Amino acid sequence: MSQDVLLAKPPTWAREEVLEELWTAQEAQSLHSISTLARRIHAGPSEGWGGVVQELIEEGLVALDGEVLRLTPEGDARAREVVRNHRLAEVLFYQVLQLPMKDSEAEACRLEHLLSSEAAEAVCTFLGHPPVCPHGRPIPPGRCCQALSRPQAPLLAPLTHLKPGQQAKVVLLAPKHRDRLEQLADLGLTPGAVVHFKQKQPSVVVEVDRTLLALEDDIAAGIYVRPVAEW
Amino acid sequence: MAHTAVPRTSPQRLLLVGNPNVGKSVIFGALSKTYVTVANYPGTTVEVARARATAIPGAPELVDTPGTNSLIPQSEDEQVTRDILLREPDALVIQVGDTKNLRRTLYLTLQLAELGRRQILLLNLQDEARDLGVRVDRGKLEARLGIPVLPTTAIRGAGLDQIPKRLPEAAVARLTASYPQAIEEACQKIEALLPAHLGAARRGVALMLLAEDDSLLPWLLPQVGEGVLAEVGLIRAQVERQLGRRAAGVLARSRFRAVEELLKETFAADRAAYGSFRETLGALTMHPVWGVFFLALVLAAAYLFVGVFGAGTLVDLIEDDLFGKVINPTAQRFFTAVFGSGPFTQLLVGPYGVITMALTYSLAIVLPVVATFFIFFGILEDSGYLPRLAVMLNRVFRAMGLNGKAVLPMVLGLGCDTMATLTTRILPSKKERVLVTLLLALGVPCSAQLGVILAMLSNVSFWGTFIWAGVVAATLFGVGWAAARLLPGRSSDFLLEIPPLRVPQVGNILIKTAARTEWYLKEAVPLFILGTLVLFTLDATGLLRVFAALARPVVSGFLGLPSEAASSFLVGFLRRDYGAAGLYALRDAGKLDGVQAVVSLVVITLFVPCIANFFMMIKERGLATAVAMVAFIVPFAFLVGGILNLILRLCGVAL
Repeated sequence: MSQDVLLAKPPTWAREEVLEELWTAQEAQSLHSISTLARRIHAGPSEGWGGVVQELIEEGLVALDGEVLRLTPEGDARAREVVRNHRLAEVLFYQVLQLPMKDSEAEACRLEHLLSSEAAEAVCTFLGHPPVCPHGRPIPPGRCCQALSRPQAPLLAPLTHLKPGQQAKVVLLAPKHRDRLEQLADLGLTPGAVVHFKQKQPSVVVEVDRTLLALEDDIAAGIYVRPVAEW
Repeated sequence: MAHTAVPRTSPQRLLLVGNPNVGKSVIFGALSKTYVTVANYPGTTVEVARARATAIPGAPELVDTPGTNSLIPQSEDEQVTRDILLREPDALVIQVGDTKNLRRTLYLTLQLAELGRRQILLLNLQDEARDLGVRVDRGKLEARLGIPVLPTTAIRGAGLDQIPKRLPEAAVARLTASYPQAIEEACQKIEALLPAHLGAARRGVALMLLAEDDSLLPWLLPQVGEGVLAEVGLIRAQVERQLGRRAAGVLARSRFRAVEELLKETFAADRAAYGSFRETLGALTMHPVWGVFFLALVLAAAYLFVGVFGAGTLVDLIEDDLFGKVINPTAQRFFTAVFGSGPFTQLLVGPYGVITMALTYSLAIVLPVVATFFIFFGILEDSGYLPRLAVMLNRVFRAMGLNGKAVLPMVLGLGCDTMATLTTRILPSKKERVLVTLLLALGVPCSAQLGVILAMLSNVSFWGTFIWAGVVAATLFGVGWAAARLLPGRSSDFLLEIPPLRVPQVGNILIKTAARTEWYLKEAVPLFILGTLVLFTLDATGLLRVFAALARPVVSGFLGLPSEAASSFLVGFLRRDYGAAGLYALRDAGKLDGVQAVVSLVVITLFVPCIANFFMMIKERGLATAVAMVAFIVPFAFLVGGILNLILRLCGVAL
């Protein structure tokens, strides 16, 4: 995280960045001292981050253990939430909305500070409780994930990932061209519509409202669905 | 007649409106049973049929509009339907819907109601709906909508007698979507800007404007002026800022929600009835493995019916027996007796005579082949197989910059390239229309030509046939691939509705075949006659021999063919199949060896099909494009033939 982001944003953002960094380091089985943290955040002591760490220590979120900074249990809980928000947002922007990775990360860095825990649960549920972020790192499970005792429904997936015979509900349409959205809507492919996946080869064929539609792979890849139970 | 006693009221015009593939045309036929005028909608290439609805008292004019899924048009067809609705504000609407897909039917009903259109609703395809276990509470639907809702199975004529009885009850359907407040306010503001004479249509038009439907402007602009449109633009921008999304999407969602509410009360589907034979067979025709098997079966059936029965049995009967033994000898005797053996008699019954060549050729050889092909094509069309073929071939066509939708004109090209060039109109983008026109002209042999070619190949070896087919197919793909990359523009999306397999109705196929054959006779026969007159003149003035001499270096040198072949190619400019017939005669006379036969057939297959097709290319694509295509195709055909000749000779291949 670059220094301008750290300093130009509301003060809670800077603190959350530090917590996130410490949590990520611990996840990777390493610890930060004040100087390694400074290098990691690319900031010199004069730029205010020292004050941020000081505040975190005073609030009991971070403890100074000799040279090493450690998260306290409360700090760990708070940091975990920020990391969870960040990785959920990455899944949303990168895998679902198909933004480039660089933009997805930048957006996730902003959104992680803004999501309330209720909103994060909604996003998590919407995405089908994804277990990992696009980089393959685990997403700390939230309450919504733990409530599920049985195996979780698969990720929100493009239509092309279904198997013949599967049923799915359209969740969102992310077509490449604007005209397509209306064309799909007119054929009944709107969010909420139930599609019955018929075949993938030689062309994708789905049934919507008892009407068979053949679609280009490219169009099908822009239709995000969540599989539903068999009839 | 009985109805002369009925007081004459001015019969109101009727519009048939509905989604694609719901049976509008069958209902149109059943209600009119009389002359149909099919004409292009002004300024478009979309055909609209009109007729007197004799089955309805007063015989009002009935218009069969192109199938549409929404009154916010996505294609030229849909735009025509919307325009007809706007330009005929007083016409009653007979909406035809697919009972199985009540959702899409009511989506259209809702939009018709927003335009304030008085209508009745036919729930057609009852038989298919029953097979699928679909139940619609028609009584409740009728009570909710406040319009007559009639169950029909049009292909069996079931329920159609109710149309004239219930038509007087036509009303605006009571089906409204509840839009967000911001939309409602914007809509009211726009309505206030629209001219009063639009009446009940104002709300519908206002909503179309909110959906940013620019295709509306040519109709609207003369009525309101630029200022109003600018204001509408501002209102839309404002509401879209408020909503944070495009108004069109919000409208569609609100409409579907309203439809969904009504469906909950009136529509039930029983999944147990699923997996019918029809459906299983339908799925097999698109299966990656079984689909190919099925395609082979269809091709075999086509070969037997069109190739063996049409081009063999029927042609023998008409050409040899009727024209060869009766008409031509009689005509020759008659004209020689009356006018002597001068140029006039030659013009009619000589080697390049109107009767002996043009009519014999068009009526005796081509007509049986084309007619049997049209029957077969009609069966394919009505059975619902063609969209399935499109599914099978989409990827193959992608390589040529086309998509599965191009299947229809390409398959029709195997019957008649001229008619196929006309049907390229169904393709959504200009790029695709140009590509298909080019490929048809270049390498899709029509049934007449195919007949001659196959006859000639039958006495060359199997490998000769294989090389011919391989070279033609490779050329088609190569040129398609290259042209797709050179031509500007975007190919359209492949998004195709696949109707269920249906048993074709004999009557319907005969009507279609008759209409297409009539078209063929009207369009093609005059061109056959014209072509023959050109040939006759060239022959009579000696120019034919001069051209043949000029072409000799290419024909004999580059292609390695005997010099007589030059005149075949020259005739090939007029009729590609007639050129092939000339080559057939050469081969028959033992003047072509195997390699020469294959090389000459490749060249003649890649030639411009015929003068009629060239005129059609000019008509559909414009003179410049048509001339450019021919200027490419002719030298290219010789080039491919020459290269093939070189390769075969260098490799010492003997066929």
